[in-house]
Amino acid sequence: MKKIAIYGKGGIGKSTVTSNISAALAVRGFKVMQIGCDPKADSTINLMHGKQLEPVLNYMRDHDSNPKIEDIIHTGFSGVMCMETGGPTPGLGCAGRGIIATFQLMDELNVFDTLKPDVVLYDVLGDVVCGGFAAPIREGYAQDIYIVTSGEKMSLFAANNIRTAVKNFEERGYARVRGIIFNSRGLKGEEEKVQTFADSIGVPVIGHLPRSQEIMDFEDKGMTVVEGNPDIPISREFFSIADKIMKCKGNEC
Amino acid sequence: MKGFFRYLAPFAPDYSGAVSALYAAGGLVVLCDPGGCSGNVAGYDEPRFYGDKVCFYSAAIREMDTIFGRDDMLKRKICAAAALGKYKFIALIGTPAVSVIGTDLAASAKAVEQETGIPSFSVNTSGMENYSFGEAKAVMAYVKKFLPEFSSAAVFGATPLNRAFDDDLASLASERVPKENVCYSAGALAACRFIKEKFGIPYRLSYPESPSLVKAAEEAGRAKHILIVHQQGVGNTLRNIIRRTSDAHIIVGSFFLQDAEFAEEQDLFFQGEDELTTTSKEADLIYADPMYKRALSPEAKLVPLVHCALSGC
Repeated sequence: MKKIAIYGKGGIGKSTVTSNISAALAVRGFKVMQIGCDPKADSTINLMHGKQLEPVLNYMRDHDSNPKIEDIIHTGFSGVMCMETGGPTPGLGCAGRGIIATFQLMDELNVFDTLKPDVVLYDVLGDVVCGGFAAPIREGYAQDIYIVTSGEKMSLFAANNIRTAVKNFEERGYARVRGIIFNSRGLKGEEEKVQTFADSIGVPVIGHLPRSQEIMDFEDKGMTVVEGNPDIPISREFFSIADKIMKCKGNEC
Repeated sequence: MKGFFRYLAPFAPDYSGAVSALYAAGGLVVLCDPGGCSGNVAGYDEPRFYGDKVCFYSAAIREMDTIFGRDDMLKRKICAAAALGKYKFIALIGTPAVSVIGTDLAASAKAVEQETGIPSFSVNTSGMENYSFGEAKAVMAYVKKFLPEFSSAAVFGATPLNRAFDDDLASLASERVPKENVCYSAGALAACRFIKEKFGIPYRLSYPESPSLVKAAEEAGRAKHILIVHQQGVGNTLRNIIRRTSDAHIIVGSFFLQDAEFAEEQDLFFQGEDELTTTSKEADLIYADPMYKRALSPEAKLVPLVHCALSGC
């Protein structure tokens, strides 16, 4: 079972990228699970034809009991198993603790051993702001991390923060950063900046996603571009990224 | 209503159960708390601390430690404490403080083990559950760390928190060598299932037929509907004794870990006080700790069945 986590600055397109990779992997025949780790709980919406799932934490709050697997995991496009941790209303509670509580519940429910996915993708909110948001990369969870970034200064800054946080955890056996996914804003000199950053931290750029009207058009219809039209260049790039992720084994990426 | 208690005092929490389960195992037990949880465990929940010299350590986590997640300081403190004695293991026990900020105790235990060379593990208790759940987590963590030790049968759960009255469980446990793994409470059953997978050793849930339970059973008389409120091991044993002389309908009800394999169809796991109150109305005789009295039907006769984890030891 391969487990990967996708990180990156807020608003950079992590959920779009993650959902399209999930969709591409599912089309390739893998049994895929995508877990949204964000209080907004909208990571999987484009795999669910626009339907927003009831997040795990909302279920636990509203029912005052632990759910069964079928209460929190729903099947989306091409059989992708979708789950959202959810979290508190902005300004209240503790979202990081929510992620930890969800992961503990998943352990109790024996989710992975029961559903046996080939690939699990964690789509994690913004930055590694606290212990809760590092939970997806702890031992036993994701092994590989991919950072989504554009060539904008603040996006690269956030990417570097994430990489630094991960490096701090090296001796703990946490996940490693395996690659950069370049989500272009279409700015001048962007590609060079992203490549320079990737070189400086010693990881490859495994995909280049140009700005795409098709992505937005299909998202308006509640689907990923991979589902909407798998044959156009942007979808082929997602298939290429998915293939590279699956080829990454140990230190060979 | 789940978790709603009008009359009952808080039960001993999960971290107390974890400390109690590891108490006599020869390790350095570290409660990762600011200090209050340690006071509760050493001052109230674990009576063996009153007289013994056993090493138990509070990590004394401060506000800045929680804000900055200073795991390196936690490691340094534990390693310094470990240098003061000889320990078989180091156990890092979770509390609400580290649980809320998401401290990775498993990673800290690994770092401590690398630094000290002493086998170390963590128990992810959070203070949100009662002692029986902490006992289960601690026993499982210990068994996984020292699995070869469990290739022969043993007794589990001989702790004050599990006992009825002032039964001397340590003495009762040492009276004879068990042929199978014996659990005095449901807390160790998950670990015993794990051991069975590895070594094929069978297990059972069976609290000893102590003189105090035998005496209590005599009170059953001609009662037709009996409710026993305690931890499942005590409840099952008392029921077995009563059944030798009575054909009463007997329910074992508990706020603590209930294992389905050893429960009868009518048995209950109480999630709130009102469930206990409702069930008590159908009984004409109730065995329960006197602390439960105000939550029980006054129509039924109450026979004291002291539970250390509820009313103190």
